Amino acid sequence: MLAKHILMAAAALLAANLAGPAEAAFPDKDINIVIPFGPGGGFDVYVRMVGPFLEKHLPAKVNVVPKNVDGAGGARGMTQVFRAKPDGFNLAIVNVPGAMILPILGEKVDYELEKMTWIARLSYDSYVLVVPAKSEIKTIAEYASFAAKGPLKMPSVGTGTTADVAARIFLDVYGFKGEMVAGYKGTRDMTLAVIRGDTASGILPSESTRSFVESGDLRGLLTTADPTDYPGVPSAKSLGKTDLDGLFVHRLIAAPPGLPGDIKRTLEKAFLEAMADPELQEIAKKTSRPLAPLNAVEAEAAVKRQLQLYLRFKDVLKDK
Amino acid sequence: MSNNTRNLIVSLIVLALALGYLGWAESYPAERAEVPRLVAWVTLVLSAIDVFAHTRTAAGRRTAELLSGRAHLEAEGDLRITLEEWLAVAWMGASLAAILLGGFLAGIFVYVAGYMTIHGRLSWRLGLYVAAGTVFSCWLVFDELLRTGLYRGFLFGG
Amino acid sequence: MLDALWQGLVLTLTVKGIAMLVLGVIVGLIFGVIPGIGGPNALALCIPLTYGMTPQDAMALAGGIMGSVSFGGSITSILINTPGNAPNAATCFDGYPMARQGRAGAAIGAAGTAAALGGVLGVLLLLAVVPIAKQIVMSFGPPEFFMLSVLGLACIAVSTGGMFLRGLVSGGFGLILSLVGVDIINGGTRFTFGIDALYDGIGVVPALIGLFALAEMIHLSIAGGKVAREDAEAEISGVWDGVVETFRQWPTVLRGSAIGAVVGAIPGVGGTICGFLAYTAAQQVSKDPDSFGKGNILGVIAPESAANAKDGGHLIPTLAFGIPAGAEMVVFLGLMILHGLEPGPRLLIDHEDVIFALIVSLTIACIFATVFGLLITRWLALITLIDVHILVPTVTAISLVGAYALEQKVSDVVISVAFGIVGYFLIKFRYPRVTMILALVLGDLAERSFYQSIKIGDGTIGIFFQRSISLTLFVLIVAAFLLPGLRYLRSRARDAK
Repeated sequence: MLAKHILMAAAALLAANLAGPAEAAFPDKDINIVIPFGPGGGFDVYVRMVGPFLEKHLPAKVNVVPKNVDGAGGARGMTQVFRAKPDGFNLAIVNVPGAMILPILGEKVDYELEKMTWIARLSYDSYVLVVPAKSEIKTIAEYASFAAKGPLKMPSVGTGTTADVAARIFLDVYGFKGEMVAGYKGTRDMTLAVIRGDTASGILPSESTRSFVESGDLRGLLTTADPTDYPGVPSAKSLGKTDLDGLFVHRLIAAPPGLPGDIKRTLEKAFLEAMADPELQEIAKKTSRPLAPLNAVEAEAAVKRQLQLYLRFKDVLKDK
Repeated sequence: MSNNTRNLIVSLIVLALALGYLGWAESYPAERAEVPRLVAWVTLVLSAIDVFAHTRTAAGRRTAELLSGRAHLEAEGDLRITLEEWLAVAWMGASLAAILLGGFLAGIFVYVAGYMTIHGRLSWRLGLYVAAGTVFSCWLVFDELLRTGLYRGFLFGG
Repeated sequence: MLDALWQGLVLTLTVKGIAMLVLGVIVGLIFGVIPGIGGPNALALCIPLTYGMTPQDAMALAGGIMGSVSFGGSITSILINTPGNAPNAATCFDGYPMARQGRAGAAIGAAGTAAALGGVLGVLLLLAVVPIAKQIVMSFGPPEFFMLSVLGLACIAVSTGGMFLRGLVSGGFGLILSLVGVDIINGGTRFTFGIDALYDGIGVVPALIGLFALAEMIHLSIAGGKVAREDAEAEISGVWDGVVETFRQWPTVLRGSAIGAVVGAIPGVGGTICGFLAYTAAQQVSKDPDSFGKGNILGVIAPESAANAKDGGHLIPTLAFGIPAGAEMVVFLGLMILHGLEPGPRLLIDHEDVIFALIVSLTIACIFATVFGLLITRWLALITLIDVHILVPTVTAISLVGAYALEQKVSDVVISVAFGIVGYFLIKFRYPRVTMILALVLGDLAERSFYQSIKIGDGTIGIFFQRSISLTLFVLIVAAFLLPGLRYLRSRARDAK
């Protein structure tokens, strides 16, 4: 008797497996935000921070579910969202320029960044040139004379990763000779490498180095943000290196290509309202994770600008 | 065929694999091949020593004792590959096939029920209960609680 | 500091705090038991739960999880020779033989007690070391990492006892497998047959599930019967004996905890190796090394104390620098950031009370997990009496789901099954699997560190011998390789008398 019931239940479960979603007003089911990296990283934190507020400001009550889809340096998550149905229920947080580097270098990827639908920007991070605090180099001028003595070693995760690319551009703009020491496992690992003295200097995202500069383990020599976001550290622009100005890592929200305009507007409005929410701003301040919202049009423009910048430096990126 | 000969054959197969790997590693450009080449050589040398240690020569036996100590001298059970072993391996493969075809929920149900009834020769009722229980727990923990989104299998659009 | 500890205690022992702690322990135990998923998954799952909680309560939850996952993992190691998490793999060596001898209760009792003691000792070491944490973390760079990986491999090969040579061969193939995938340093992929799924290489967890869980299931499938052998004294009791024995063997507990905490504190090396090193150490100093692998309770006590002490160790670089010492810590850092706890040098200054709440929670969790686990051990041990033909398909099914759940890749399931089949033949022809899996774990670290060291040191291998820690480790490696031969010669000399 029980066995027969079990068989029926199994059949029902199978049928449920095959059923598809119903059509209704947006949103009518959970929205997934794909994070193309593992849990605990910078992008992950931003999605989890903003997620609950997105829920609050959407026109209907649904869950916003962060989904970590790790692999292939972020390509796996990107591909998954690129290929998803453009129904607004699958979004991604995108690392720009991270996601565009491999295609620029000529590597095959299964997504096309320019075709994605850009919804908004959550934040951005600038780059800063750092040296260990115990180093004798105190200004960019002293750094230049140090650089003349021999190739500059800088930590990197690997060829084609974000910090690696930023470092190469920096070296090219200043005309320094450099040597990348690849193989570090991430930004924190690289930060430790510079403090430890594996390399004499490094180009790293500001966010991760800030607390070490404050604690006196690192010293900043230059930042790509203007006006400077590091007290006492000159901006690249003020040093005359306008090419480095605006060399950032953007955290953008994107949807698959072909997203209908009304859904795009609904999402854009929800994101912008969420980021304007005073409660979220309070949290952003408390966690030292600033928000820098851009709307859809501005976000798309930022993507185009970054693309042009990196295309200009294409040959530098390919060097050994 | 004695156990020692079987051991020797296995060591030779391993040696051949190491050799093949070395060849493959060499086919990569210089920098990429550096570490694989090193690993290949080390494994090759170790495999060769292992082959040598299983030959009937006195020196071989001395090497075996030196590097592997007393335990090497112990008897090593029957090394023939039996039908039962092939069956067990086949069932493992079957579990994979079931999951690939029908997805986790359907595949696990079929595999568990099938294994218990056919291989284990237990009552089909018990097989169904246990299979249902297993599928239910997996569904509850992974699909509902963890929201994993279990694979649906080739047949159901996976 | 006592002041801060007291503060931490007060903050944790609220009704909500205790509730979170208990929840964390239960979640941690369950996740620990399921092969493949563990601490990182549990923490990631609980992050949304912590929205709106005070940081202290969030830390109570996190502490609860981190303190119990390892003990959960040891339970499956003992009962079905399947590590619930990679660091528990060493517990299989003697834990499973004990289960086969009908001593599962004692094994779990010992594992739980060792886990609790190890966890507490690890936290104590954390507290003691905090002032010099910086120096410790600073002294270990790529050359030291490389030496540590090789040392780890050498130790494990030595610990396989009578299969040193084949252990090394297995290890070699493990290294070969670790090289599959993208070469992040030079660009381009290696040994992937062009398959996308292999781009990131062969996952350690799917391989672990295959080599240990699935291979064992094939083995049991053929052997039939039950896990507890027919001729075993089928007394599934003795939990209390296991507990008492662990207290009696306090030198082993101390040694294991020290190894776990110290090695766990080195960022990048990971926790897997801690259990193995502790096991090897216990075996080498024992008067009866050959009894290891056959049900010597010390072979359970040593790795379990290490596996739990490492959690305290992991927190050292994580709290001091925000440098995660392993996958679990990466997720934990994310959780901390979301609660306004910025990891870095200022963390212990700005948020001392919350951090001590974490430390208190972790300590209580270890003890609580053990007490809870021990209470249900009698029922758990009954698993060894289940007919193998029920156990095999269910464990196989759950393991395969676990392999998939990790990254939602079907290829991981295929990899697991492949390793399962290969693993069975490794068992049959007496090639140790543990060296293969450890080489797979350490291969990546070894290659990267090797490359980095050469680059930092201006192109020669001189750097390895110029740094004192690196040189010391090298000497230890040489010693490790000579050990089996020396032992053999010594025993021959002894026999000759």
